[in-house]
Amino acid sequence: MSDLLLVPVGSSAWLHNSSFQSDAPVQLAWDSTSLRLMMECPRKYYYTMIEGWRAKHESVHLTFGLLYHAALEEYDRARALGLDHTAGLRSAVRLALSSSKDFRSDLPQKNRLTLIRSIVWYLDAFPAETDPAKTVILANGQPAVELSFRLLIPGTELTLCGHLDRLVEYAQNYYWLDHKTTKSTLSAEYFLKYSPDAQVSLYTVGGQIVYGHKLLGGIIDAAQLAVNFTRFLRGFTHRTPGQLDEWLGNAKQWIDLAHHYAQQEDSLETSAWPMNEMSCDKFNGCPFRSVCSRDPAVREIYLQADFHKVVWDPLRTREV
Amino acid sequence: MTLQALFDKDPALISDTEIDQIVNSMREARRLWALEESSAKTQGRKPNPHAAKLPPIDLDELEIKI
Repeated sequence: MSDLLLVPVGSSAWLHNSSFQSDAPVQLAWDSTSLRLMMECPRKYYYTMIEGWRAKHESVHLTFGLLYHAALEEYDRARALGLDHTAGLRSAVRLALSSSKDFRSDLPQKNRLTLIRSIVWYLDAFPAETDPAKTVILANGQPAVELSFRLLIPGTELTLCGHLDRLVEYAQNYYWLDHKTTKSTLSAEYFLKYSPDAQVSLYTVGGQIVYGHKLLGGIIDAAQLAVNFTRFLRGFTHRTPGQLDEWLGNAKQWIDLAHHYAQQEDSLETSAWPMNEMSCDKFNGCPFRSVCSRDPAVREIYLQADFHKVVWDPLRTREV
Repeated sequence: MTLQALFDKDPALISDTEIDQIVNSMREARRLWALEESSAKTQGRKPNPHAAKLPPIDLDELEIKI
């Protein structure tokens, strides 16, 4: 279900995974998470992708998102197998209860109770019978949910990869559909942040591997998590072929920049990866601000205290 | 069985009836929230965020027990 693997904190600075070259921290397989990190700040990319640090509190959001996604996927699979809404919902709730039994959270908006509530409220709001977004059934008879894709960039050793939650047919066009959870109030403005956006563009490129230009973009089903309620809003985001070509060129330039830093002699030193100080207060505040704001000599102490090491491997697939 | 007890139960041992009980509690909360949102809209005020609170659940207790 998860790309996350918690590992003991060791002495090795570089937390290697299969998306990297074996002899240098040169990442060859890129997903939207690693691309975004590099675009935001090379130092943030280094701490997260190469050293593998993840803020302890950030893991709650990631885990909640993965549990929520997995339960909704379970519903889609159950429905595609012919189960009715009640049985599908039961199956999703059962999976969520079971997979969240060890989930600990101090956040009143994101805990086991709000997880189950959000799953029930979402599936009752968008039951398969009346939801105009219909899950595509693939040629092998399986529902198009949690599809992993890989795309080799021509003339390079680079792979772009990702996981599509679900492919749907909507008003005779194709879209990928993704779930997002947020504490922010939902409105039409919420969706503006998805254009331009690396994940949306990459997912659209990935979806077009299956459907070509019949796939117009994505549908985002956003869930606003509050302590005592969950609100939902559906938004659409489109990409033209020209936008996607431009995005691929852009992504390649960011990857080239990462490789430039990774091939320096001191590539396993933070100093090789410059901070982008303009990003520190963006994206809800960088989790590494509490580290980068300290003297370089004591940063390791803050990393050890507030972060743990987690492998994020873009090449781990999710298909069953 | 209370919602608290259902959440505390070993998920492997939970029956379909008990799952339905959880689902129904969540649906009741959703109904209350929809009512509150609708009333707030009619009355031109912000909805009371506590309107759909699930009373049997003690969040602190829940976090400790699960």
